[in-house]
Order: sequence, then C-alpha cells, then structure tokens
Amino acid sequence: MNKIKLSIENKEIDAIVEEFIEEFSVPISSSTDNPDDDVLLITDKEDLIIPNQIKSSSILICNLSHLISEKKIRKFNNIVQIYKNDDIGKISIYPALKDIISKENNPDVHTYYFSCHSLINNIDYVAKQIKDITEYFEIDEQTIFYINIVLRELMLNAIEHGNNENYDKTVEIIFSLHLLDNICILSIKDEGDGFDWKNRSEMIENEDILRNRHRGIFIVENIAEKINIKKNKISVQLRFKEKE
Amino acid sequence: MKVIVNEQTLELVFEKDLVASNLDEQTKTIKNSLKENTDVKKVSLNFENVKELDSLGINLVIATFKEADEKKKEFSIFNTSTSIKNLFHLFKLHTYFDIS
Repeated sequence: MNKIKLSIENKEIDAIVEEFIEEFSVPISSSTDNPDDDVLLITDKEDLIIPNQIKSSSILICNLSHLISEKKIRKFNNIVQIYKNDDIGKISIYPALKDIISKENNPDVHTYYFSCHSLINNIDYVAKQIKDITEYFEIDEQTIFYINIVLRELMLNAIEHGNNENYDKTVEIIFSLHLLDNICILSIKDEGDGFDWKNRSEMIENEDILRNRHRGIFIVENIAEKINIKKNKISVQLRFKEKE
Repeated sequence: MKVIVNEQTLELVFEKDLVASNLDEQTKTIKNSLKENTDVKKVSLNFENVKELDSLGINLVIATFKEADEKKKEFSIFNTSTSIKNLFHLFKLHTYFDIS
C-alpha cells in the first residue's frame, strides 16, 4: 500500500479530511504505479484509507491548497506533509501552507515544497509532480516544458555538484505559482558550499556551443526571467501563459 | 531504443525521454549501432517519443552528431515537438544539422 502521511498539528484533522473527500471525491488516486493500490492517510488521530481515488499526490496537494485558499480550512497551524516511501528513498512533498496563510489566504499564490535524497531518479519523481501541478492550473505547454527543463538542470546541479551525489544529503525544492502575476518561482537548495554561477555563465558566452560544458547553465539563463543566487540556494523566475 | 537500418540510413528511434536517469542504456545502444553500421551514409535520430530532455540529453545528441560528422555521415533529427525544436534553436543546433 502506498502511504501518504498527513501530519497536521490540528485537532480538526478528521473534519478536514472528511471535507476534502466530500469536496474532491473524484480526482484522487495514488501516485503509485499500481492503480489498484489504496492510499493510506496517516493522521495524528487515526489512519484513513482512501480507496484508489486519488489521481496523484500533487493533485491532492492542489486540492488541499484550494480548500485553504478558499478559507474552507481555517485553522491550519502547521504544514501538511505528504510523503511516499519507496525503493528510491524518501521524498517529502508538501505545500508551504504557512506561506499561503501569511498572505492572508491569497488564493492566487500556490506554493509547494519538496525535499529528497540526492539521487538522479528523484529528479523524475519531482518533475512529474510539478508537471501534474502545472497541468492542473492549465499553464501553457511551452512553459510546462521550460519549467520541467529548468527544474531538471537545477536539481542535477544540486545533486552532482552541490551534494556530490551523497545520498544522505538533501535537495529542497520550493515551487510557487503566482496566478495573478503569471509567474512561477523555482527555488532549489542543496547542502553544498554555494555555486559560482556568474563565473561559469561568463565562461559559456565565449564557448563553442558544441563543446561539452555548462549547457545546463546556458538553458536556465536563456529561459529564466530572473535568477537569484544566495550561497547554496538558487531561485529562478519564469513567466507563463494560461493554456489557450 | 529501436534501431532501423534502411538502405543507407541508420535510424535510431528513442523510446524514452532523453533525461539523466535514462541515458546510460541509450548511449550504449547508439555507440554500438554506429560501430556496427559503418556502411551507412546517414544517421537520423527519431524524436517521436521524446517529450522531455535535459542538458545531458542534449550532450548525447551533440556527441552523436560529432561522431557521425567525423565519419563523414549526414546527420539529422526528425519528429521533434515544437518545444524541443525551440530548445535546439536556442543552441543554434539547426545551423549544424537538419531538425524537423
């Protein structure tokens, strides 16, 4: 069984989950490869089984996020943490609900938090989750492609260079969608000493494109609207269109 | 990856996305195919099934082009999605080989 843990410091968890299931009874199924698997929601009070109806954990997060932004859930004191245990290690995914709450329940900002071990295969998993989220919000296909490739380059850099492919070191990813401004921001943090982006970026300008170096940086620089680097954390802003 | 040799063309059909987690096996198949088919005059990469790629995937494409070019073989990529075509144009790869 695929386990999804809802860790919420709130006494009203049953009511929240019940409301959630009632409101979104259709679009939920587990992110497991086996469509027959049920999803186990482990709460502080009791375990709830949602039978084979959750489409993906990211859709679950989207919907929870909607409930909060629409003020249907008011008393969140903590973030929701959803994680999946499998062969490739633990991956945590949760929307940064604190951000949403601090913006006075701004329904136009949706923020999602992921963290994972330094494994190349985890890039695919996070990329899939973010793709689900962007498709859910009907972002245009070209931007979905760009978000995907920027995410892949930044995670690859974090795993290979930041964390030296040390499995035990973590990569943290925050993805936020600002629907009113049509922008999304990807922030990636590793456990390394920081990244000399500027130097490498200047190097590539003078390089023959067929030489086999720094293509990831080139991609991000050419796609991103803004790049902000603080030590071992890089934030990239992209502008999107809604699907026509 | 599917390998098709048709007259004097070696067609390599990717069946997975060209991203870091998928590259080892695909790189091996390309190298072996080029080694085993020295008589072909053209090498074509079929992108029909490629929806996502990253810089390591682009590295593989460029390495394949370089190898084909060294051996004086024509090189092209076809069945690319608009997004992937736009990305290749960003790298000006269309100035080195045909992309359709």
